[in-house]
Amino acid sequence: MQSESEEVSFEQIAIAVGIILLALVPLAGRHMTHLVASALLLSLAATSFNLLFGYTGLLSFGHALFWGVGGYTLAVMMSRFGLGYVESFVMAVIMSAVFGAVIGFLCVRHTRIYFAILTLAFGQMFYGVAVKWDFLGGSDGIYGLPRPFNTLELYYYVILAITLASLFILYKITRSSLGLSFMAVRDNAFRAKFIGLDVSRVRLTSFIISSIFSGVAGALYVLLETAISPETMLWTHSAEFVFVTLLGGPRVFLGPLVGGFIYSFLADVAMSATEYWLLVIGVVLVAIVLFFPHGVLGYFLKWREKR
Amino acid sequence: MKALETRNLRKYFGNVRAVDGVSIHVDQGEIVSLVGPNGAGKTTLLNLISGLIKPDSGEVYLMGEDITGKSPNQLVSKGLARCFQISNVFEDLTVLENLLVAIHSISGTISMTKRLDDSEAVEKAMKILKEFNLDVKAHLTPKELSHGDRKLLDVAIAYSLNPKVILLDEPTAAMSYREKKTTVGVIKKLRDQLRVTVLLVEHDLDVVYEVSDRIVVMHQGQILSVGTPEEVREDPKVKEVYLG
Ligand SMILES: Nc1ncnc2c1ncn2[C@@H]1O[C@H](COP(=O)(O)OP(=O)(O)OP(=O)(O)O)[C@@H](O)[C@H]1O
Ligand SMILES: [Mg+2]
Repeated sequence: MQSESEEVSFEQIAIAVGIILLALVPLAGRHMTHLVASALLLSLAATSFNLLFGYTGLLSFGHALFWGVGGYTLAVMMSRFGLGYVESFVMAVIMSAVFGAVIGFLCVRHTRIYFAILTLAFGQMFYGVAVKWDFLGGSDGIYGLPRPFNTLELYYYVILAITLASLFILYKITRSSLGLSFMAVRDNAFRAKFIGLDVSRVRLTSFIISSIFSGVAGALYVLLETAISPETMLWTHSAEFVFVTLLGGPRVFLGPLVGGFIYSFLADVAMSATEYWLLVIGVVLVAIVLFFPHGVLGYFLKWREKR
Repeated sequence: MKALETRNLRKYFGNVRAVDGVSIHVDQGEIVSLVGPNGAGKTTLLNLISGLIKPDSGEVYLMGEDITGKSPNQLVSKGLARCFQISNVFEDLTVLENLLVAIHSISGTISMTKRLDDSEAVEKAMKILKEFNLDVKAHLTPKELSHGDRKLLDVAIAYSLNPKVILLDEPTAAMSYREKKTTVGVIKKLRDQLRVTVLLVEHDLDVVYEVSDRIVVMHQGQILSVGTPEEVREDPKVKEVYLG
Protein backbone atom coordinates (compact mmCIF):
# COMPACT_ATOMS: atom_id res chain seq x y z
CA MET A 1 0.00 0.00 0.00
CA GLN A 2 2.92 2.27 0.72
CA SER A 3 4.03 2.12 -2.86
CA GLU A 4 0.66 3.42 -4.03
CA SER A 5 1.28 7.07 -3.20
CA GLU A 6 4.78 6.69 -4.55
CA GLU A 7 3.45 5.27 -7.81
CA VAL A 8 1.01 8.12 -8.27
CA SER A 9 3.77 10.65 -7.84
CA PHE A 10 5.98 8.75 -10.26
CA GLU A 11 3.21 8.84 -12.84
CA GLN A 12 2.54 12.48 -12.19
CA ILE A 13 6.21 13.33 -12.66
CA ALA A 14 6.35 11.28 -15.85
CA ILE A 15 3.32 13.06 -17.23
CA ALA A 16 4.59 16.52 -16.22
CA VAL A 17 7.96 15.84 -17.85
CA GLY A 18 6.18 14.55 -20.93
CA ILE A 19 4.06 17.67 -21.24
CA ILE A 20 7.08 19.95 -20.81
CA LEU A 21 8.98 18.05 -23.49
CA LEU A 22 5.97 18.27 -25.79
CA ALA A 23 5.77 22.01 -25.21
CA LEU A 24 9.43 22.40 -26.21
CA VAL A 25 9.13 20.40 -29.44
CA PRO A 26 8.97 23.42 -31.84
CA LEU A 27 12.54 24.30 -30.73
CA ALA A 28 13.68 21.07 -32.39
CA GLY A 29 12.83 22.22 -35.88
CA ARG A 30 10.06 21.82 -38.41
CA HIS A 31 10.58 18.18 -39.14
CA MET A 32 10.37 17.20 -35.51
CA THR A 33 7.38 19.47 -34.94
CA HIS A 34 5.51 17.89 -37.80
CA LEU A 35 6.47 14.40 -36.66
CA VAL A 36 5.34 14.93 -33.09
CA ALA A 37 2.12 16.61 -34.21
CA SER A 38 1.28 13.57 -36.34
CA ALA A 39 2.24 11.25 -33.50
CA LEU A 40 -0.07 13.14 -31.14
CA LEU A 41 -2.99 12.81 -33.50
CA LEU A 42 -2.36 9.14 -34.19
CA SER A 43 -2.15 8.63 -30.44
CA LEU A 44 -5.40 10.47 -29.83
CA ALA A 45 -7.17 8.39 -32.46
CA ALA A 46 -5.70 5.19 -31.04
CA THR A 47 -6.70 6.16 -27.50
CA SER A 48 -10.26 6.79 -28.61
CA PHE A 49 -10.21 3.53 -30.58
CA ASN A 50 -9.04 1.86 -27.38
CA LEU A 51 -12.01 3.16 -25.41
CA LEU A 52 -13.98 0.81 -27.62
CA PHE A 53 -11.37 -1.97 -27.79
CA GLY A 54 -9.53 -2.15 -24.49
CA TYR A 55 -12.29 -0.76 -22.32
CA THR A 56 -15.47 -2.01 -23.99
CA GLY A 57 -14.16 -5.17 -25.65
CA LEU A 58 -15.09 -4.33 -29.24
CA LEU A 59 -12.44 -4.48 -31.95
CA SER A 60 -13.23 -1.94 -34.66
CA PHE A 61 -11.34 -2.49 -37.86
CA GLY A 62 -12.77 0.56 -39.55
CA HIS A 63 -12.04 3.34 -37.14
CA ALA A 64 -10.15 5.42 -39.66
CA LEU A 65 -13.61 6.05 -41.09
CA PHE A 66 -14.28 8.47 -38.24
CA TRP A 67 -10.91 10.12 -38.70
CA GLY A 68 -12.02 10.60 -42.30
CA VAL A 69 -15.45 11.89 -41.36
CA GLY A 70 -13.87 14.49 -39.08
CA GLY A 71 -11.28 15.40 -41.69
CA TYR A 72 -13.59 15.57 -44.69
CA THR A 73 -16.21 17.52 -42.78
CA LEU A 74 -13.69 20.13 -41.80
CA ALA A 75 -12.24 20.31 -45.30
CA VAL A 76 -15.67 20.54 -46.94
CA MET A 77 -16.93 23.17 -44.51
CA MET A 78 -13.89 25.34 -45.18
CA SER A 79 -13.41 24.84 -48.90
CA ARG A 80 -17.00 24.39 -50.09
CA PHE A 81 -19.00 26.44 -47.59
CA GLY A 82 -16.40 29.00 -46.60
CA LEU A 83 -16.82 28.46 -42.87
CA GLY A 84 -14.07 29.50 -40.45
CA TYR A 85 -11.79 27.17 -38.52
CA VAL A 86 -13.83 27.04 -35.37
CA GLU A 87 -17.20 26.53 -37.06
CA SER A 88 -15.74 23.88 -39.35
CA PHE A 89 -14.16 22.10 -36.43
CA VAL A 90 -17.43 22.10 -34.50
CA MET A 91 -19.20 20.70 -37.56
CA ALA A 92 -16.53 18.00 -37.80
CA VAL A 93 -17.17 16.99 -34.20
CA ILE A 94 -20.93 16.92 -34.77
CA MET A 95 -20.63 14.86 -37.94
CA SER A 96 -18.32 12.37 -36.23
CA ALA A 97 -20.91 11.93 -33.52
CA VAL A 98 -23.72 11.49 -36.05
CA PHE A 99 -21.76 8.94 -38.09
CA GLY A 100 -20.74 7.22 -34.88
CA ALA A 101 -24.35 7.00 -33.75
CA VAL A 102 -25.68 5.61 -37.04
CA ILE A 103 -22.85 3.19 -37.80
CA GLY A 104 -22.53 2.24 -34.15
CA PHE A 105 -26.24 1.49 -34.01
CA LEU A 106 -25.83 -0.91 -36.92
CA CYS A 107 -22.70 -2.56 -35.51
CA VAL A 108 -23.04 -2.93 -31.72
CA ARG A 109 -25.55 -5.75 -31.87
CA HIS A 110 -22.68 -7.86 -33.16
CA THR A 111 -19.49 -8.72 -31.34
CA ARG A 112 -16.08 -10.26 -31.93
CA ILE A 113 -15.17 -11.03 -35.53
CA TYR A 114 -18.62 -10.00 -36.79
CA PHE A 115 -18.24 -6.58 -35.26
CA ALA A 116 -14.71 -6.26 -36.64
CA ILE A 117 -15.81 -7.25 -40.14
CA LEU A 118 -18.82 -4.93 -40.10
CA THR A 119 -16.74 -1.94 -39.07
CA LEU A 120 -14.14 -2.88 -41.67
CA ALA A 121 -16.86 -3.03 -44.31
CA PHE A 122 -18.22 0.39 -43.37
CA GLY A 123 -14.73 1.84 -43.48
CA GLN A 124 -14.08 0.46 -46.96
CA MET A 125 -17.51 1.56 -48.12
CA PHE A 126 -16.90 5.18 -47.22
CA TYR A 127 -13.41 5.01 -48.65
CA GLY A 128 -15.14 4.03 -51.89
CA VAL A 129 -17.55 6.93 -51.58
CA ALA A 130 -14.71 9.40 -51.03
CA VAL A 131 -12.79 8.11 -54.07
CA LYS A 132 -15.79 8.34 -56.37
CA TRP A 133 -17.54 11.46 -55.18
CA ASP A 134 -16.35 14.66 -56.88
CA PHE A 135 -17.81 16.81 -54.14
CA LEU A 136 -15.17 15.29 -51.85
CA GLY A 137 -12.47 15.78 -54.46
CA GLY A 138 -12.43 12.19 -55.69
CA SER A 139 -9.15 10.32 -55.42
CA ASP A 140 -7.19 13.57 -55.08
CA GLY A 141 -9.15 14.58 -52.02
CA ILE A 142 -9.30 18.19 -50.91
CA TYR A 143 -6.09 20.21 -50.70
CA GLY A 144 -4.73 23.71 -50.42
CA LEU A 145 -6.45 24.48 -47.13
CA PRO A 146 -5.02 27.36 -45.11
CA ARG A 147 -3.36 26.47 -41.83
CA PRO A 148 -4.45 28.40 -38.74
CA PHE A 149 -1.97 31.17 -37.79
CA ASN A 150 -0.08 30.33 -41.00
CA THR A 151 2.76 28.79 -39.06
CA LEU A 152 3.38 25.18 -38.20
CA GLU A 153 4.76 26.09 -34.78
CA LEU A 154 1.65 27.91 -33.57
CA TYR A 155 -0.65 25.31 -35.06
CA TYR A 156 1.39 22.67 -33.25
CA TYR A 157 0.27 24.23 -29.98
CA VAL A 158 -3.35 24.08 -31.08
CA ILE A 159 -2.91 20.37 -31.75
CA LEU A 160 -1.11 19.86 -28.47
CA ALA A 161 -3.76 21.68 -26.45
CA ILE A 162 -6.74 19.95 -28.05
CA THR A 163 -5.07 16.54 -27.89
CA LEU A 164 -4.21 16.93 -24.22
CA ALA A 165 -7.71 18.17 -23.43
CA SER A 166 -9.24 15.25 -25.34
CA LEU A 167 -7.00 12.74 -23.59
CA PHE A 168 -7.97 14.28 -20.28
CA ILE A 169 -11.67 13.91 -21.06
CA LEU A 170 -11.18 10.33 -22.24
CA TYR A 171 -9.23 9.57 -19.08
CA LYS A 172 -11.99 11.03 -16.92
CA ILE A 173 -14.49 8.86 -18.76
CA THR A 174 -12.49 5.72 -18.02
CA ARG A 175 -12.47 6.71 -14.34
CA SER A 176 -16.23 7.33 -14.24
CA SER A 177 -19.19 5.07 -13.62
CA LEU A 178 -19.79 5.16 -17.37
CA GLY A 179 -16.28 3.82 -17.98
CA LEU A 180 -16.92 1.16 -15.37
CA SER A 181 -20.04 0.08 -17.26
CA PHE A 182 -17.89 -0.24 -20.42
CA MET A 183 -15.48 -2.53 -18.58
CA ALA A 184 -18.30 -4.56 -17.07
CA VAL A 185 -19.73 -5.16 -20.53
CA ARG A 186 -16.26 -6.06 -21.78
CA ASP A 187 -15.67 -8.55 -18.99
CA ASN A 188 -19.05 -10.20 -18.95
CA ALA A 189 -21.81 -8.91 -21.21
CA PHE A 190 -24.04 -11.72 -20.03
CA ARG A 191 -23.88 -10.75 -16.38
CA ALA A 192 -24.06 -7.08 -17.30
CA LYS A 193 -27.67 -7.61 -18.36
CA PHE A 194 -28.41 -9.05 -14.95
CA ILE A 195 -27.23 -5.92 -13.19
CA GLY A 196 -29.65 -3.92 -15.28
CA LEU A 197 -27.34 -2.64 -17.98
CA ASP A 198 -28.66 -2.28 -21.50
CA VAL A 199 -25.62 -3.82 -23.14
CA SER A 200 -26.27 -2.48 -26.63
CA ARG A 201 -26.74 1.00 -25.28
CA VAL A 202 -23.54 0.85 -23.26
CA ARG A 203 -21.66 -0.30 -26.36
CA LEU A 204 -23.24 2.38 -28.51
CA THR A 205 -22.30 5.09 -26.01
CA SER A 206 -18.70 3.93 -26.09
CA PHE A 207 -18.81 3.76 -29.88
CA ILE A 208 -20.07 7.33 -30.22
CA ILE A 209 -17.53 8.80 -27.81
CA SER A 210 -14.82 6.85 -29.57
CA SER A 211 -15.96 8.14 -32.98
CA ILE A 212 -16.03 11.74 -31.79
CA PHE A 213 -12.42 11.76 -30.66
CA SER A 214 -11.22 9.89 -33.73
CA GLY A 215 -13.00 12.60 -35.70
CA VAL A 216 -11.28 15.30 -33.67
CA ALA A 217 -7.91 13.77 -34.53
CA GLY A 218 -8.82 13.56 -38.21
CA ALA A 219 -10.03 17.16 -38.35
CA LEU A 220 -6.87 18.47 -36.72
CA TYR A 221 -4.74 16.38 -39.06
CA VAL A 222 -6.30 17.96 -42.14
CA LEU A 223 -4.97 21.36 -41.17
CA LEU A 224 -1.58 19.92 -40.30
CA GLU A 225 -1.31 18.52 -43.84
CA THR A 226 -3.49 21.29 -45.31
CA ALA A 227 -5.10 18.47 -47.29
CA ILE A 228 -7.08 15.27 -46.98
CA SER A 229 -7.20 12.27 -49.28
CA PRO A 230 -9.37 9.13 -49.29
CA GLU A 231 -6.43 7.00 -48.12
CA THR A 232 -6.97 8.35 -44.62
CA MET A 233 -10.06 6.11 -44.50
CA LEU A 234 -8.39 3.04 -45.96
CA TRP A 235 -8.31 -0.07 -43.81
CA THR A 236 -4.53 0.15 -43.47
CA HIS A 237 -5.02 3.34 -41.50
CA SER A 238 -7.58 1.61 -39.27
CA ALA A 239 -5.06 -1.17 -38.77
CA GLU A 240 -2.55 1.42 -37.58
CA PHE A 241 -4.86 2.30 -34.68
CA VAL A 242 -5.09 -1.36 -33.77
CA PHE A 243 -1.36 -1.84 -34.03
CA VAL A 244 -0.40 1.22 -32.10
CA THR A 245 -2.76 0.17 -29.32
CA LEU A 246 -1.36 -3.36 -29.10
CA LEU A 247 2.11 -1.91 -29.19
CA GLY A 248 1.61 0.36 -26.20
CA GLY A 249 -0.86 -1.81 -24.30
CA PRO A 250 -4.66 -1.82 -24.49
CA ARG A 251 -5.16 -2.24 -20.75
CA VAL A 252 -3.31 0.93 -19.80
CA PHE A 253 -4.88 4.28 -20.54
CA LEU A 254 -1.71 5.81 -21.97
CA GLY A 255 -0.74 2.61 -23.79
CA PRO A 256 -1.96 3.82 -27.20
CA LEU A 257 -0.14 7.13 -26.70
CA VAL A 258 3.15 5.37 -26.03
CA GLY A 259 2.45 3.05 -28.95
CA GLY A 260 1.61 6.00 -31.19
CA PHE A 261 4.94 7.67 -30.49
CA ILE A 262 7.00 4.52 -30.88
CA TYR A 263 5.28 3.76 -34.16
CA SER A 264 5.61 7.28 -35.56
CA PHE A 265 9.29 7.61 -34.70
CA LEU A 266 10.09 4.13 -35.91
CA ALA A 267 8.36 4.80 -39.21
CA ASP A 268 10.19 8.11 -39.55
CA VAL A 269 13.63 6.60 -38.97
CA ALA A 270 13.01 3.53 -41.10
CA MET A 271 11.53 5.56 -43.92
CA SER A 272 14.58 7.76 -44.29
CA ALA A 273 16.97 4.80 -43.93
CA THR A 274 15.57 2.32 -46.40
CA GLU A 275 12.91 1.95 -49.02
CA TYR A 276 11.90 -1.29 -47.31
CA TRP A 277 10.78 0.70 -44.30
CA LEU A 278 7.40 -1.01 -44.13
CA LEU A 279 9.13 -4.38 -43.83
CA VAL A 280 11.41 -3.02 -41.11
CA ILE A 281 8.62 -1.67 -38.96
CA GLY A 282 6.62 -4.79 -39.64
CA VAL A 283 9.37 -6.98 -38.23
CA VAL A 284 10.05 -4.72 -35.25
CA LEU A 285 6.37 -4.45 -34.41
CA VAL A 286 5.74 -8.17 -34.67
CA ALA A 287 8.67 -8.73 -32.33
CA ILE A 288 7.36 -6.21 -29.82
CA VAL A 289 3.85 -7.62 -29.85
CA LEU A 290 5.21 -11.16 -29.47
CA PHE A 291 7.55 -10.34 -26.60
CA PHE A 292 5.42 -7.75 -24.85
CA PRO A 293 1.92 -9.20 -25.03
CA HIS A 294 0.56 -6.46 -22.74
CA GLY A 295 2.21 -3.77 -24.79
CA VAL A 296 5.31 -1.78 -24.02
CA LEU A 297 3.74 0.45 -21.38
CA GLY A 298 1.77 -2.44 -19.90
CA TYR A 299 4.99 -4.40 -19.61
CA PHE A 300 6.87 -1.50 -18.09
CA LEU A 301 4.23 -0.91 -15.40
CA LYS A 302 4.17 -4.62 -14.53
CA TRP A 303 7.93 -4.61 -14.25
CA ARG A 304 7.87 -1.58 -11.96
CA GLU A 305 5.19 -3.20 -9.82
CA LYS A 306 7.31 -6.33 -9.39
CA ARG A 307 10.38 -4.46 -8.23
CA MET B 1 -49.01 -10.97 -0.98
CA LYS B 2 -47.39 -13.00 -3.71
CA ALA B 3 -44.03 -11.45 -4.54
CA LEU B 4 -43.38 -13.94 -7.31
CA GLU B 5 -45.68 -16.30 -9.12
CA THR B 6 -45.48 -18.57 -12.14
CA ARG B 7 -48.59 -19.86 -13.85
CA ASN B 8 -48.39 -23.00 -15.87
CA LEU B 9 -44.89 -22.26 -17.19
CA ARG B 10 -43.73 -24.56 -19.94
CA LYS B 11 -40.40 -24.86 -21.72
CA TYR B 12 -39.35 -27.78 -23.88
CA PHE B 13 -35.94 -28.25 -25.44
CA GLY B 14 -36.75 -30.53 -28.36
CA ASN B 15 -38.37 -33.44 -26.60
CA VAL B 16 -36.80 -32.64 -23.22
CA ARG B 17 -39.61 -31.31 -21.05
CA ALA B 18 -37.33 -29.11 -18.96
CA VAL B 19 -40.19 -27.16 -17.35
CA ASP B 20 -43.56 -28.73 -17.83
CA GLY B 21 -46.48 -26.73 -16.52
CA VAL B 22 -45.03 -25.24 -13.34
CA SER B 23 -47.17 -23.07 -11.07
CA ILE B 24 -45.46 -21.89 -7.91
CA HIS B 25 -45.47 -18.77 -5.83
CA VAL B 26 -43.31 -17.09 -3.24
CA ASP B 27 -44.97 -14.81 -0.70
CA GLN B 28 -43.38 -11.55 0.23
CA GLY B 29 -40.72 -12.05 2.88
CA GLU B 30 -40.54 -15.80 2.38
CA ILE B 31 -37.63 -18.06 1.59
CA VAL B 32 -38.84 -20.79 -0.73
CA SER B 33 -36.40 -23.51 -1.72
CA LEU B 34 -36.57 -25.31 -5.00
CA VAL B 35 -35.06 -28.77 -4.81
CA GLY B 36 -34.94 -31.79 -7.06
CA PRO B 37 -32.51 -34.17 -8.70
CA ASN B 38 -30.07 -33.10 -11.42
CA GLY B 39 -31.87 -32.16 -14.58
CA ALA B 40 -35.17 -31.58 -12.78
CA GLY B 41 -35.53 -28.19 -14.46
CA LYS B 42 -34.65 -25.89 -11.57
CA THR B 43 -32.16 -23.71 -13.41
CA THR B 44 -34.42 -23.59 -16.44
CA LEU B 45 -37.23 -22.34 -14.21
CA LEU B 46 -34.98 -19.57 -12.85
CA ASN B 47 -33.96 -18.73 -16.41
CA LEU B 48 -37.61 -18.38 -17.39
CA ILE B 49 -38.41 -16.19 -14.40
CA SER B 50 -35.40 -13.94 -14.84
CA GLY B 51 -36.05 -13.36 -18.54
CA LEU B 52 -33.00 -15.18 -19.86
CA ILE B 53 -35.18 -17.48 -21.94
CA LYS B 54 -38.80 -17.13 -22.99
CA PRO B 55 -41.40 -19.73 -22.03
CA ASP B 56 -43.30 -21.73 -24.64
CA SER B 57 -46.40 -20.87 -22.62
CA GLY B 58 -47.44 -19.66 -19.20
CA GLU B 59 -46.83 -16.43 -17.32
CA VAL B 60 -44.61 -14.96 -14.64
CA TYR B 61 -45.80 -12.30 -12.17
CA LEU B 62 -43.63 -10.06 -10.03
CA MET B 63 -45.48 -8.19 -7.28
CA GLY B 64 -48.68 -8.86 -9.21
CA GLU B 65 -47.38 -7.50 -12.50
CA ASP B 66 -47.13 -9.73 -15.56
CA ILE B 67 -43.44 -9.76 -16.45
CA THR B 68 -43.48 -12.63 -18.94
CA GLY B 69 -41.03 -12.09 -21.79
CA LYS B 70 -39.37 -9.00 -20.29
CA SER B 71 -35.61 -8.78 -20.70
CA PRO B 72 -33.25 -9.39 -17.75
CA ASN B 73 -32.15 -5.76 -17.55
CA GLN B 74 -35.75 -4.55 -17.45
CA LEU B 75 -36.53 -7.00 -14.68
CA VAL B 76 -33.61 -5.80 -12.60
CA SER B 77 -35.08 -2.32 -12.48
CA LYS B 78 -38.40 -3.86 -11.41
CA GLY B 79 -36.70 -5.45 -8.43
CA LEU B 80 -35.78 -8.94 -9.59
CA ALA B 81 -32.14 -10.00 -9.20
CA ARG B 82 -30.44 -13.34 -9.55
CA CYS B 83 -27.14 -15.06 -9.15
CA PHE B 84 -25.75 -18.03 -10.99
CA GLN B 85 -25.01 -21.69 -10.45
CA ILE B 86 -21.51 -21.21 -11.83
CA SER B 87 -20.27 -17.98 -10.32
CA ASN B 88 -20.59 -15.29 -12.87
CA VAL B 89 -18.81 -12.06 -12.07
CA PHE B 90 -16.70 -9.34 -13.72
CA GLU B 91 -13.27 -10.94 -13.80
CA ASP B 92 -11.05 -7.93 -14.46
CA LEU B 93 -12.80 -5.55 -12.11
CA THR B 94 -11.99 -5.48 -8.41
CA VAL B 95 -14.47 -6.90 -5.95
CA LEU B 96 -15.44 -3.36 -5.01
CA GLU B 97 -15.93 -2.35 -8.66
CA ASN B 98 -18.07 -5.45 -9.21
CA LEU B 99 -20.52 -3.97 -6.72
CA LEU B 100 -20.05 -0.35 -7.76
CA VAL B 101 -21.14 -1.00 -11.31
CA ALA B 102 -24.27 -2.74 -10.06
CA ILE B 103 -25.02 0.07 -7.62
CA HIS B 104 -24.55 2.78 -10.26
CA SER B 105 -26.62 0.81 -12.71
CA ILE B 106 -29.59 0.39 -10.39
CA SER B 107 -29.42 3.97 -9.09
CA GLY B 108 -29.35 5.35 -12.62
CA THR B 109 -26.02 7.08 -11.96
CA ILE B 110 -24.12 5.69 -14.93
CA SER B 111 -22.60 8.87 -16.29
CA MET B 112 -19.29 10.26 -17.46
CA THR B 113 -19.32 12.83 -14.70
CA LYS B 114 -19.92 10.32 -11.89
CA ARG B 115 -16.50 9.51 -10.52
CA LEU B 116 -15.54 5.96 -9.70
CA ASP B 117 -14.52 6.95 -6.20
CA ASP B 118 -17.86 8.67 -5.60
CA SER B 119 -18.06 8.35 -1.83
CA GLU B 120 -21.77 7.60 -1.54
CA ALA B 121 -21.60 4.59 -3.86
CA VAL B 122 -18.31 3.36 -2.39
CA GLU B 123 -19.75 3.58 1.11
CA LYS B 124 -22.80 1.60 0.10
CA ALA B 125 -20.67 -1.03 -1.65
CA MET B 126 -18.33 -1.39 1.31
CA LYS B 127 -21.28 -1.80 3.66
CA ILE B 128 -22.62 -4.64 1.55
CA LEU B 129 -19.19 -6.25 1.25
CA LYS B 130 -18.93 -6.18 5.01
CA GLU B 131 -22.21 -8.06 5.33
CA PHE B 132 -20.76 -10.72 3.03
CA ASN B 133 -17.39 -10.81 4.83
CA LEU B 134 -15.74 -9.58 1.66
CA ASP B 135 -14.74 -6.09 2.79
CA VAL B 136 -11.08 -6.99 3.37
CA LYS B 137 -10.95 -8.37 -0.18
CA ALA B 138 -12.45 -5.28 -1.80
CA HIS B 139 -9.35 -4.54 -3.86
CA LEU B 140 -8.69 -8.04 -5.11
CA THR B 141 -9.99 -9.30 -8.43
CA PRO B 142 -12.32 -12.31 -8.49
CA LYS B 143 -9.45 -14.46 -9.82
CA GLU B 144 -7.72 -14.00 -6.49
CA LEU B 145 -10.73 -15.16 -4.47
CA SER B 146 -11.49 -18.63 -3.15
CA HIS B 147 -14.35 -20.51 -4.78
CA GLY B 148 -16.60 -19.76 -1.84
CA ASP B 149 -15.86 -16.05 -1.92
CA ARG B 150 -16.60 -15.93 -5.64
CA LYS B 151 -20.01 -17.43 -5.01
CA LEU B 152 -20.57 -14.94 -2.21
CA LEU B 153 -19.53 -12.09 -4.49
CA ASP B 154 -22.06 -13.31 -7.05
CA VAL B 155 -24.80 -13.09 -4.39
CA ALA B 156 -23.48 -9.74 -3.18
CA ILE B 157 -23.75 -8.30 -6.69
CA ALA B 158 -27.36 -9.44 -6.92
CA TYR B 159 -28.08 -8.08 -3.47
CA SER B 160 -26.52 -4.69 -4.24
CA LEU B 161 -29.26 -4.20 -6.85
CA ASN B 162 -31.74 -3.51 -4.06
CA PRO B 163 -34.00 -6.35 -5.16
CA LYS B 164 -37.48 -7.14 -3.90
CA VAL B 165 -37.02 -10.73 -5.01
CA ILE B 166 -33.73 -12.55 -5.39
CA LEU B 167 -33.17 -15.85 -7.17
CA LEU B 168 -30.23 -17.88 -5.90
CA ASP B 169 -29.00 -20.86 -7.92
CA GLU B 170 -27.05 -23.21 -5.66
CA PRO B 171 -25.18 -20.54 -3.71
CA THR B 172 -23.46 -23.07 -1.44
CA ALA B 173 -22.35 -25.53 -4.13
CA ALA B 174 -18.83 -26.81 -3.48
CA MET B 175 -18.36 -24.52 -0.50
CA SER B 176 -16.44 -25.42 2.63
CA TYR B 177 -18.38 -25.89 5.86
CA ARG B 178 -17.39 -22.44 7.08
CA GLU B 179 -18.33 -20.77 3.82
CA LYS B 180 -21.69 -22.54 3.91
CA LYS B 181 -22.28 -21.16 7.39
CA THR B 182 -21.59 -17.64 6.16
CA THR B 183 -23.87 -18.12 3.19
CA VAL B 184 -26.70 -19.52 5.31
CA GLY B 185 -26.32 -16.49 7.54
CA VAL B 186 -26.48 -14.21 4.52
CA ILE B 187 -29.60 -15.91 3.15
CA LYS B 188 -31.38 -15.60 6.47
CA LYS B 189 -30.29 -12.01 6.77
CA LEU B 190 -31.74 -11.31 3.34
CA ARG B 191 -35.15 -12.26 4.65
CA ASP B 192 -35.01 -11.23 8.30
CA GLN B 193 -33.19 -7.91 8.16
CA LEU B 194 -33.17 -6.82 4.57
CA ARG B 195 -36.75 -7.92 3.76
CA VAL B 196 -35.87 -9.53 0.49
CA THR B 197 -37.97 -12.40 -0.83
CA VAL B 198 -35.84 -15.39 -1.78
CA LEU B 199 -36.29 -18.24 -4.22
CA LEU B 200 -33.42 -20.60 -3.53
CA VAL B 201 -32.26 -23.53 -5.63
CA GLU B 202 -30.15 -25.75 -3.39
CA HIS B 203 -28.90 -29.32 -3.30
CA ASP B 204 -27.71 -29.33 0.30
CA LEU B 205 -30.80 -30.42 2.23
CA ASP B 206 -29.33 -29.31 5.56
CA VAL B 207 -29.16 -25.79 4.23
CA VAL B 208 -32.64 -26.12 2.74
CA TYR B 209 -34.24 -27.34 5.97
CA GLU B 210 -32.49 -24.68 7.97
CA VAL B 211 -33.51 -21.62 5.99
CA SER B 212 -36.74 -22.45 4.14
CA ASP B 213 -40.25 -21.34 4.98
CA ARG B 214 -41.54 -23.64 2.27
CA ILE B 215 -40.02 -26.14 -0.11
CA VAL B 216 -40.95 -26.94 -3.70
CA VAL B 217 -39.78 -30.28 -5.04
CA MET B 218 -39.32 -30.55 -8.79
CA HIS B 219 -38.89 -33.71 -10.78
CA GLN B 220 -38.68 -34.09 -14.55
CA GLY B 221 -39.95 -30.59 -15.16
CA GLN B 222 -42.96 -30.89 -12.89
CA ILE B 223 -43.85 -30.03 -9.31
CA LEU B 224 -43.77 -33.16 -7.22
CA SER B 225 -44.53 -31.71 -3.81
CA VAL B 226 -44.92 -28.38 -2.03
CA GLY B 227 -45.03 -27.69 1.68
CA THR B 228 -43.26 -26.76 4.88
CA PRO B 229 -39.94 -28.49 5.56
CA GLU B 230 -41.72 -30.97 7.86
CA GLU B 231 -44.40 -31.79 5.30
CA VAL B 232 -41.96 -32.27 2.48
CA ARG B 233 -39.62 -34.37 4.60
CA GLU B 234 -42.48 -36.80 5.28
CA ASP B 235 -43.84 -36.90 1.73
CA PRO B 236 -43.46 -40.47 0.40
CA LYS B 237 -43.26 -39.24 -3.22
CA VAL B 238 -40.24 -37.13 -2.30
CA LYS B 239 -38.54 -40.01 -0.52
CA GLU B 240 -39.05 -42.12 -3.60
CA VAL B 241 -37.37 -39.61 -5.90
CA TYR B 242 -34.45 -38.99 -3.58
CA LEU B 243 -33.87 -42.56 -2.49
CA GLY B 244 -35.18 -44.60 -5.39
N1 LIG C 1 -30.39 -24.73 -23.35
C1 LIG C 1 -30.77 -26.01 -23.27
N2 LIG C 1 -30.87 -26.77 -24.39
C2 LIG C 1 -31.25 -28.06 -24.33
N3 LIG C 1 -31.54 -28.69 -23.19
C3 LIG C 1 -31.46 -28.00 -22.04
C4 LIG C 1 -31.05 -26.63 -22.02
N4 LIG C 1 -31.05 -26.20 -20.74
C5 LIG C 1 -31.43 -27.26 -20.00
N5 LIG C 1 -31.68 -28.34 -20.76
C6 LIG C 1 -32.15 -29.64 -20.29
O1 LIG C 1 -33.30 -29.40 -19.50
C7 LIG C 1 -33.30 -30.25 -18.36
C8 LIG C 1 -33.37 -29.43 -17.10
O2 LIG C 1 -32.11 -28.78 -16.92
P1 LIG C 1 -31.82 -27.77 -15.73
O3 LIG C 1 -30.46 -27.21 -15.94
O4 LIG C 1 -32.93 -26.82 -15.62
O5 LIG C 1 -31.81 -28.75 -14.48
P2 LIG C 1 -31.42 -28.44 -12.98
O6 LIG C 1 -32.60 -28.87 -12.17
O7 LIG C 1 -30.98 -27.05 -12.79
O8 LIG C 1 -30.24 -29.46 -12.74
P3 LIG C 1 -28.93 -29.33 -11.81
O9 LIG C 1 -29.37 -29.68 -10.45
O10 LIG C 1 -27.99 -30.32 -12.39
O11 LIG C 1 -28.43 -27.91 -11.91
C9 LIG C 1 -32.05 -31.11 -18.47
O12 LIG C 1 -32.42 -32.34 -19.07
C10 LIG C 1 -31.15 -30.34 -19.38
O13 LIG C 1 -30.31 -31.17 -20.11
MG1 LIG D 1 -29.22 -26.13 -12.19
